[in-house]
Amino acid sequence: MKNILAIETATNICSISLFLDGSFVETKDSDEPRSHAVKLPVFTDELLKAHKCKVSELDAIAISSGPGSYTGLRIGMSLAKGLALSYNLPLLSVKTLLAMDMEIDIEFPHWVCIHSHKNMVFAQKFNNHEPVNDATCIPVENLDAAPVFGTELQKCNIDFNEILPSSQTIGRFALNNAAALAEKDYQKVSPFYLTEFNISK
Amino acid sequence: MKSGWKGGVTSSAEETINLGKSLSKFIEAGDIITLEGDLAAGKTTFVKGILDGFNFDRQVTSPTFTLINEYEAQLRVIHMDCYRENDLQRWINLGIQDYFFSDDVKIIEWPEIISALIPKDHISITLKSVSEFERKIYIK
Ligand SMILES: Nc1ncnc2c1ncn2[C@@H]1O[C@H](COP(=O)(O)OP(=O)(O)OP(=O)(O)O)[C@@H](O)[C@H]1O
Ligand SMILES: [Mg+2]
Repeated sequence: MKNILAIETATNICSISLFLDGSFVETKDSDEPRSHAVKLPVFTDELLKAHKCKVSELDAIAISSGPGSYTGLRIGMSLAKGLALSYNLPLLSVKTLLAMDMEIDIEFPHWVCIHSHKNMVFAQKFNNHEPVNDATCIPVENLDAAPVFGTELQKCNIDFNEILPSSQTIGRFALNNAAALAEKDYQKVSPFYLTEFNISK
Repeated sequence: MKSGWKGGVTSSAEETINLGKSLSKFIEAGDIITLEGDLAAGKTTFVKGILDGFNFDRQVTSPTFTLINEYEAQLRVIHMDCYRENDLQRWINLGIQDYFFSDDVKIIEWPEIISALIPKDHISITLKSVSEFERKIYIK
């Protein structure tokens, strides 16, 4: 697998990257809130045209699967599935926190977090790029003393190092793990919401 | 929401608008406000007042058909009307969780229809028709 489009829409960042012949070519992104539905299709079109690449020439579509914003994830997943379906391309679904951890080069345990709402964060602990636990959605107070990396955490009153989700990282992770991730049964690929509604009553 | 808002009895739509306006000073980012009351109790009229209080000078209309109206006022206000849609999954697909998780102010007419989805820490306001023109409006 050499030519892929990679999509990252789990947070306020809407980002798409093109890889050709296994190498990164270009990213288009925006951090304007709630603009994913408008921007993502336009970015996709511009990116493909700029590099004279057709969807039929792609080998796969990589998608950041969450956790993150419900609407953001659905917009990204819809476009990914739409593009994949048109030429029966495999989807490469990449966990958002796992990809963010690829950007962190420290050799001791640390948290990777995305702000969810109020004092709640999507959080997962990693050590040497291996998850130490499952991703959860927990109050920020429940994080232990390990250093925190992540995004949109300003509201949480904690010390953290900023790491932004990016489609470039999603694409790189997807290329490195393409064989394990490739999925053509699209029903099996869905956003990883983590905070699904519990309909009470 | 800040405490201290007093409801009241109004005897015209204008008075209900003014009462809504008085509420807006107590509203904080992220608040979820539910408005319960029968047809024509004055819920939408009350929302007009709230938006007035946020210096929103464009039209505020009922979201009965659109389901959700978004207003870029002093605070961003999300105005929902659940009357027409009782399928909870459709509200979920619409992304109401993102609205509930956001700093926007959420105001919901006919909340009883989707009560299973509304976070517990919301502010519940009731509007009761006392007579043709009188409305009793209070926090539950
Ligand atoms: N004291 C009052 N306060 C508010 N509205 C009043 C009052 N007296 C009469 N009215 C009339 O009642 C109607 C209230 O309409 P409004 O759309 O605000 O109700 P609603 O509760 O939103 O109804 P719906 O359930 O259909 O959404 C208006 O026609 C208004 O003129
Ligand atoms: Mg109404």
